[in-house]
Amino acid sequence: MHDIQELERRWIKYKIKSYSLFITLLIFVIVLIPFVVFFSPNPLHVSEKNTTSVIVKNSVLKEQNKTIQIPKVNTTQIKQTDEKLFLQPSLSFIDNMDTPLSINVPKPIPETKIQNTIDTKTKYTPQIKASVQPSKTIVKPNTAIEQKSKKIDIQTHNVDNVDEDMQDVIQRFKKTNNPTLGLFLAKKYYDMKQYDLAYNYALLTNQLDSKVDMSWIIFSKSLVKLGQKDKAISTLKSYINNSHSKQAISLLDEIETGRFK
Amino acid sequence: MSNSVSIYEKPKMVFLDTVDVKNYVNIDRASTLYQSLKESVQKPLKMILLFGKPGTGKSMLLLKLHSDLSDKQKIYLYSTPLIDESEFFKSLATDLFHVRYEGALNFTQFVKIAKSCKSQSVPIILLDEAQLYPSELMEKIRLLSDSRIVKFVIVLHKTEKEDLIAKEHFQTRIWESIELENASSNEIKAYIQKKLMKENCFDSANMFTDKAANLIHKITNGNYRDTNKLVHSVFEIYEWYDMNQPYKLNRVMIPHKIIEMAAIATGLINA
Repeated sequence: MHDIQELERRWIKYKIKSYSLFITLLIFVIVLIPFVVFFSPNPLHVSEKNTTSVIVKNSVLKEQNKTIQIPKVNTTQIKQTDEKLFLQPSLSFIDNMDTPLSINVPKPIPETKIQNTIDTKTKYTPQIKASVQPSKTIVKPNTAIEQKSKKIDIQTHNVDNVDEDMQDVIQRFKKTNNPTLGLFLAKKYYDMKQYDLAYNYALLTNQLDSKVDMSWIIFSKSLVKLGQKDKAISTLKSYINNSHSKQAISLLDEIETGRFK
Repeated sequence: MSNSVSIYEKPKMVFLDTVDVKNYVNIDRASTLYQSLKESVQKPLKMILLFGKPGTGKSMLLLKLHSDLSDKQKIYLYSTPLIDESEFFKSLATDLFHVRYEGALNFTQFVKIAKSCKSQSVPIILLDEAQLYPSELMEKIRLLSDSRIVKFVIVLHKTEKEDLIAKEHFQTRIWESIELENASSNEIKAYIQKKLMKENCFDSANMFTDKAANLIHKITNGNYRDTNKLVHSVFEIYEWYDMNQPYKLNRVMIPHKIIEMAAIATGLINA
């Protein structure tokens, strides 16, 4: 005969043992539920999260914009026009120089006619034309252009006392398209009172990097020196509207008041 | 505990694990297998192999066959293995040919006796627990069956070892093999109820519902011997409650608690 009371105790232990896994799982689920509920994504949380993420994204983008384009103050205004502000050649000097860049110039004009063109002012149409990124519009010169350029080069540089250093910089500018070199040449030619070349190199520099403040200044100064004061003023005004450049404002004031001639 | 006898005393005794042909319960599948075995014995086969896991009813089936055929033909049941070769052949000589041999009797001498006393019908020897016979003796049993002097029904536990014996000794012989398997849940229920009803314990038989039978089957894995042991223990527990705490008893159906307690008591559940 069995010891039934002992057997009952063993049976209770057995049942506890057999249900222990189930009970453990149940407790685990019960403990887990508040965590799941607390951390579950409800619509409010999601929207908040999205908002914050958008804000974060925007702020990150803004940060990126700030870091990349520190001088770009009037981005909104530029966006309104949807395009970047570049200088476009209003004079034909660009066509007559040995340029490393292919710029959208409608009609190449022989160097011999440049002076006439400037003097008559018939082709003087200064304009701020919005164009696509410079990289898209600027094309590497092909052999034919280079050959042509060489011919022109002989003509354009048929000037006495041309410094060898200037030639070296011009060659380097041709190879690298470095806007710093372009600006250097523009400044140099401006100082040498060769305003047509200064105008051209300022324009080329601006085509490479429209954010170079000095390219606008030299361009405008060259225009004034070439007798195109009104066009210089309108160019500067357009630039000031977009950049608020203090130097440009100052130059504009000087031109308008006649202090800069 | 009172001195009066519980009503569960009788059903408890039904499940005493004894191999008695009276306790044979005719379950459908077992019945089919039995008929198959009975037909095989009548065929001119040299050997018949009956195998299965322990507790699947092999011995009971063998006992039933012996019981059914003993009136009609020479059939002898060797429930306990005779390990010694001489003793084995001497027993055979005595049972089959009524020859009492003095001294050791080897295979050759037994064949001579068998040929001198050849009868028209081939006697049947039922060898239970054949896995216990030494392999040399099994080889001689095979030779004996080849000579068609005796027909053997060999009962083996189904283990790797027994399968090996079957391969080594009997594979190439003309023989038939019958496998006994563990009972299903329904068969367990039928087995318990038929056993109880055979002893007119109808109320007790009705207490075994499908759920109870399923649990018993789950615990015993359909093993008849374990089922006998478990149900015997169930009625033992019932008996105790009946005598000591009758208000706790469910007399309509066997609760799981009692079955599990019985399983713990018999070691079928490790608690």
